[in-house]
Amino acid sequence: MTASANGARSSEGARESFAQRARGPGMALLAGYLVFALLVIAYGQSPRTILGLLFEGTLGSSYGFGQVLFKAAPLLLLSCAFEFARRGGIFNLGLDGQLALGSFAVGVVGTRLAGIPSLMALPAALLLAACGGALSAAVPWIFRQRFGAPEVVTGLLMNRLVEALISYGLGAGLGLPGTVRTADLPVGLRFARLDTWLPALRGSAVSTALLLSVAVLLLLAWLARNLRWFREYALFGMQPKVARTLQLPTKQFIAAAFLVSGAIAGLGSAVSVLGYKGYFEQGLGAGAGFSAIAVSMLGKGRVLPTLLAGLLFGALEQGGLAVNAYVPKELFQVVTAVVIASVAISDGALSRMTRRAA
Amino acid sequence: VGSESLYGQVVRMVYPYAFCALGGLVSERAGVMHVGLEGILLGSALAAAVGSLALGSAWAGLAAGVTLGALFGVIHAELCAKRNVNPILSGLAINLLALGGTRSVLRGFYHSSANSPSIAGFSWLRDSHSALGATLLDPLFWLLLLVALALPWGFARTRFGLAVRGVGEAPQAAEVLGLQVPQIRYRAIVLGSAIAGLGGVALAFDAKQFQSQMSAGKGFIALIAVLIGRMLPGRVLVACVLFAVLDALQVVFQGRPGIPTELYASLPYLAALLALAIAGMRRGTQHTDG
Repeated sequence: MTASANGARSSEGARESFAQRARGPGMALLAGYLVFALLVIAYGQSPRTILGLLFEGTLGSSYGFGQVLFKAAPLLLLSCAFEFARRGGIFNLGLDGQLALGSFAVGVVGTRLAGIPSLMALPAALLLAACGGALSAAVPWIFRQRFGAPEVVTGLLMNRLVEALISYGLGAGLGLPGTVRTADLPVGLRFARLDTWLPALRGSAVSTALLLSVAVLLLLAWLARNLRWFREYALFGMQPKVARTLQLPTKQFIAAAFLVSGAIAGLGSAVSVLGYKGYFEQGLGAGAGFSAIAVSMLGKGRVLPTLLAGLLFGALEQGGLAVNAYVPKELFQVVTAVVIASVAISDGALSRMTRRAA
Repeated sequence: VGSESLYGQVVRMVYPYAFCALGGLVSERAGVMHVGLEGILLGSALAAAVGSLALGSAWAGLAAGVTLGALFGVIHAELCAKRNVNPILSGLAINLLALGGTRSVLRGFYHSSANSPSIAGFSWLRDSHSALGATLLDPLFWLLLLVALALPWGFARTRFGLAVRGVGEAPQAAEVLGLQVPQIRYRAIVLGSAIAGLGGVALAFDAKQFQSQMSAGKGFIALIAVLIGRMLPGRVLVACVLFAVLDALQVVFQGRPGIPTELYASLPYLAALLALAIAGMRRGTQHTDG
């Protein structure tokens, strides 16, 4: 059993050379850049100028860099969530709904945590966030197990449903009357802004929640290498029939793929609700799912590539604002689509996963 | 609110679902789940507006919408039928491409982030017609009827239709029989995407303009209609009508005391989940992973 689980690990890329591993993402980024350049030219601008603006708005100032880190933090968490589910053979396309429900849970219940010391309140809030995310992921899980419904469809559906239900909840007394936000969280219930220690980052919204993102990434990478359970889980993701023959606990693996992934996605609220706004607002942190999937596909659970990809897409989100006066920032969504498609073309492991639930 | 206006609402709501779901059905029959329907709906709605505005004719808009649907279908097919990309990932890429692409084009062409200038749709359709008369005068109605009748006939009688079914139900057997599996899938995806493009046309003609993100999850609901209709055109259409009725109720009952509007907004999604559950239970739960 161990031998095959180890074999699974090596075919996920551990024995490939750096050049082999870097080829797919490298080509994808090149394709992304080419499309970016073409689109910028189509808008009558020079790619070099726009690229200059992009650099200036992101890496050019310590404020800009802080904003990049701020945008990268939830992307890292969501990409970890996507990667975890993917390892177990599940496509989690409900990231946005899971993040939203986690954030909403923190925003609503968090206000009732006043008076509790922040050392206890903060973990409690994170637990809430994780539960909210897992709850949203539980629906696709149950529907797949009970009714054989493909998780992709139910995941996408949950994104919409959660949005509608939150909007209803905010109107039905869970939010401040007449607004689309919740009341302020207690003062202690925050992740400190990094600029309290690093004055250079002043004004940027990056907080210690970034450390949480990195910690989750490191922890998952470590567990993937060292935990036997995780190797068996990954084996199930790639070869479900083999895992069944080996009598591994496959039902447990599927449950974990959904619920843990949802919980990680829910933790993303640490960045936006606990680290930035201090309350929940409708649409907060929305739309990060696509970029997170791109990050995850480029990084594939490896620490350094995921960090770099997270920074890149964080920079694109932040940089989009810097260039928006010249070219629409939505161009970067097109670029992201190209990157996703290109990695998928070059990466056999991602494409081999053609299990159809229906 | 009279029954006639409810009927009118249902009819206008049903086109995007129905074209999308029937298009998705063609792809699904070939064994490829079409997650990109949402993106095609959005993209072809914009194409319909651009075509109408550029050439001053609703027919040009219709052609543009179908063409864009087919074009997205080519991208989708190129990725998942030819290059073995997981269709979920290529569908995802299509959706994101449409999301970013439509907003970029909107700004580039019309300097707006919200909507296109207004279009006329089919000029002979006026509010003064009776609801039934408006339906019978609408070319989209006849197109939907055509597609809905052609699909069952095509799957049962034409060589291509049979090949699509074979490829979807037993790809390995189809290959042994000498069918070019990737090629047949390719064509099915492009055909289905072109049909789904008509849904976008209906969306834009109904709103008399393109609006940013106007597909609003309808493509995903259509995907569910395909699943619960078990890939049978008639049943899929019935599912679409049910979803359209829920949408119409939302419009008709808007602003009435009682159930809050926001709850109506979640109705189609709740109904979709419920339908999936019922369809799953009726099928029996032979699908187990454990």
